[in-house]
Amino acid sequence: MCSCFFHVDLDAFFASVEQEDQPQYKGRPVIVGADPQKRGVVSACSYEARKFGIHSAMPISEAFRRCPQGVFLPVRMERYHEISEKIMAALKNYTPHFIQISVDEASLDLSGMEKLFGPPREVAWRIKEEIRELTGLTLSVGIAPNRYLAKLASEYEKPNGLTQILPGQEESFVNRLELRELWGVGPKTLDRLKELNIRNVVELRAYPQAALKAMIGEAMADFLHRVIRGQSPAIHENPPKSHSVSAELTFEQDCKNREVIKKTLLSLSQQLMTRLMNEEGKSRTLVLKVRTFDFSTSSVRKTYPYYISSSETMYKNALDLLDQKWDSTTPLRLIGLGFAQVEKEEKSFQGELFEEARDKAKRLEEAVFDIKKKWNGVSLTKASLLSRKAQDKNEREKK
Amino acid sequence: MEFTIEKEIFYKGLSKIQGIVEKKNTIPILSNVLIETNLDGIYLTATDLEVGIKAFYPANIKKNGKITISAKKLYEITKELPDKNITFKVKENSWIEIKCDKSIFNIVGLAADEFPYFPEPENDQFINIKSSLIKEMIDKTYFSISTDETKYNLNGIFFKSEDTDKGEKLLSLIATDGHRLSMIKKNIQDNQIKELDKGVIFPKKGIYELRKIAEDGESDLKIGFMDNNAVIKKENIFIIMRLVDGEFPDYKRVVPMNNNLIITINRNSLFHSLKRISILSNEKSKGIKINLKENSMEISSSNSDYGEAHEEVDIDYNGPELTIGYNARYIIDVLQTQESEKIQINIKDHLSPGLIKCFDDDDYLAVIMPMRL
Repeated sequence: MCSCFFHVDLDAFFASVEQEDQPQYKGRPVIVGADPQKRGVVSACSYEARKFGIHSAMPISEAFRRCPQGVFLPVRMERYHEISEKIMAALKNYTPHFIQISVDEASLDLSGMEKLFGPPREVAWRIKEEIRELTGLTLSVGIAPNRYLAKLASEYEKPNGLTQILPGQEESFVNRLELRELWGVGPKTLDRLKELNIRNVVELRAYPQAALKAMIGEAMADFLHRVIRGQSPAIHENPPKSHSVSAELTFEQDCKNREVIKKTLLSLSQQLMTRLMNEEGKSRTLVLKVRTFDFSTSSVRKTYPYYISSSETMYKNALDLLDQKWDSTTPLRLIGLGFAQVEKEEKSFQGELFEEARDKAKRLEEAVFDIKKKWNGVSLTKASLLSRKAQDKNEREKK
Repeated sequence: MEFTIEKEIFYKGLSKIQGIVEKKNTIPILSNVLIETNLDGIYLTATDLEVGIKAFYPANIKKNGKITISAKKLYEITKELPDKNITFKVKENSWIEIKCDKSIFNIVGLAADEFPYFPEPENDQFINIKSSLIKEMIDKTYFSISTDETKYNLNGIFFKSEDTDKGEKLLSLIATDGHRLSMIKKNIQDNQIKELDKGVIFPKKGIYELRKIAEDGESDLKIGFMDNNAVIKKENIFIIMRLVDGEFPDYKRVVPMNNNLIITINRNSLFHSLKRISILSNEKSKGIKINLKENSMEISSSNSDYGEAHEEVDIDYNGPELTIGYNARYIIDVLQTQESEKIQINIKDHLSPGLIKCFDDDDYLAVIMPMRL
């Protein structure tokens, strides 16, 4: 039986949802992200906007400079999740071996399903048709003998693409790609390869593996060795052992107001704790990242003797880390916080004899989490995080 | 320096220090044993700066002196030598010659002046404790010591003395890892020692050494304190250990006083049931489920990789039906160190700590926190 993996990737997802919801923007360059008059980055943009050289993660001001006539829209994450859920539910009908990779990407294992669904290409067309009818959105499908190649294939003819790599064609497909198109190869690796005078996949394949290991590290060299031969680097095949959960915020204006920074950390702590609990993870390691006004970026990492089990504890520790990294006078451009070395929380739980303040905070956190889960949409937060406006509104309502 | 010593004496002395010499090799001389002579014998000293041991053994001294030598190599050599006298001779540049029968070993040692200072016990106050008593007290508590090095204040056994209403003196030993606790108290000789009245934490490694010398020979042990160290003497051996610098948690608070549901059970049958059923519990959590009904206890386990197991045990119980999860290891550890035929488990509900006591022994108790399965 041949392995047959599908990688499904929605085209310019956020921007397409906006264009679908507001048809007057169809055919126009739509840029979803921060307010162009303020600071922040592009979260997503339509293919029309990409013609102007705009891409996601670009500073929003730069996007505005390149395309002042563009339609700049704020991020409506809840709406995207809503659409995404519909799509993922539809995709799940095709196979039980389904992995959602992100809000707009999924990997499907359809090995041995040919008798049930027909040839893979036909299945791909059916999927595309079904999603288009359901949401009006287009997507690109890659079909390949492993998940990694399927991902590369889905990128190959975007948007609205369909690329199939048949068994035996793996190497010749990879030969056609540029090194930067290999998913997982970042700018640093590209620089090193350039220094080694390796310009394409064929040259990389000819390079002695031992020398490559010495130059770019064992893990990366092994990864490349596999992917340029069309083999699976085992991505998404096993759930990762540990990963990180992090978030960051770029201030609208460089900030050196300690109170504002503290409040930001508190808000990040709350977000991250909820995310960690959502994925049933636990972690003892915190990472704090700061970027100062001159773009110099540094981070500090600390592992604690206990699991960080409440936003309260996370926030307190984050403040300690902040003191280590920040002199209280240099204006900050960005601040980020995250859990590293996230492990899976076991279902069984051994009770503690000596309950500490931390354990109580954990139980409070769990209670808040349960409320949020039960009453979908209810927001429960620290009073200090309520904006002035919301507080005023609250008071008016009380009156 | 030169002396002659019986193989068996030397070997026994060297085996006693093997547990103490530093194995991580961060400071090379700490993996050595210090050998010093006096008029009618030698002193063997080893330390890892946390726990130190010094012991005297009779030997025939030809020339006085001191030297250090790899404790492990010397032990290995001595172990293999025939049962005859061993001649130990220090030559130039710290070279050491060891001769026994027809064997000759030449080993390089390190000068003794590099060896860390080892404090001599002053004539401070000591309490006398029977060796067999202290051994029993350690055996019934040490398994609850935390192995989590970050919880340093739980990495040892808490020693505390108290006066009873009857004017007697009690010594309690308490160990806990935060999930379970074992506590034993015994009458001791009435001697006021302020460190014990306040309570001190003996380090885990020191406890093992203390247990070893308690096991070896019937004579009494003396326990005293010096600066921040505990000092233990028995016959020719003297151990010093740095006390754990930390506060022991308020253990009295977690001993349940009004657990009204009482289970009486044969210790042996519960022990073997738990051993059997826990084979199929989750390898990491060791969680088993206990389901209580009138006069019956069902113990069960399940493991997603293998399957499930359950077993019924006869008990005396007339409380409500109840299901509780426990780490089987915690109960097994308690049961296997007890002698009495019947034990009693007092519980309140599936979330509160349970109390295990022996039927005919009021000196001992264990507290175990349930598990959410």
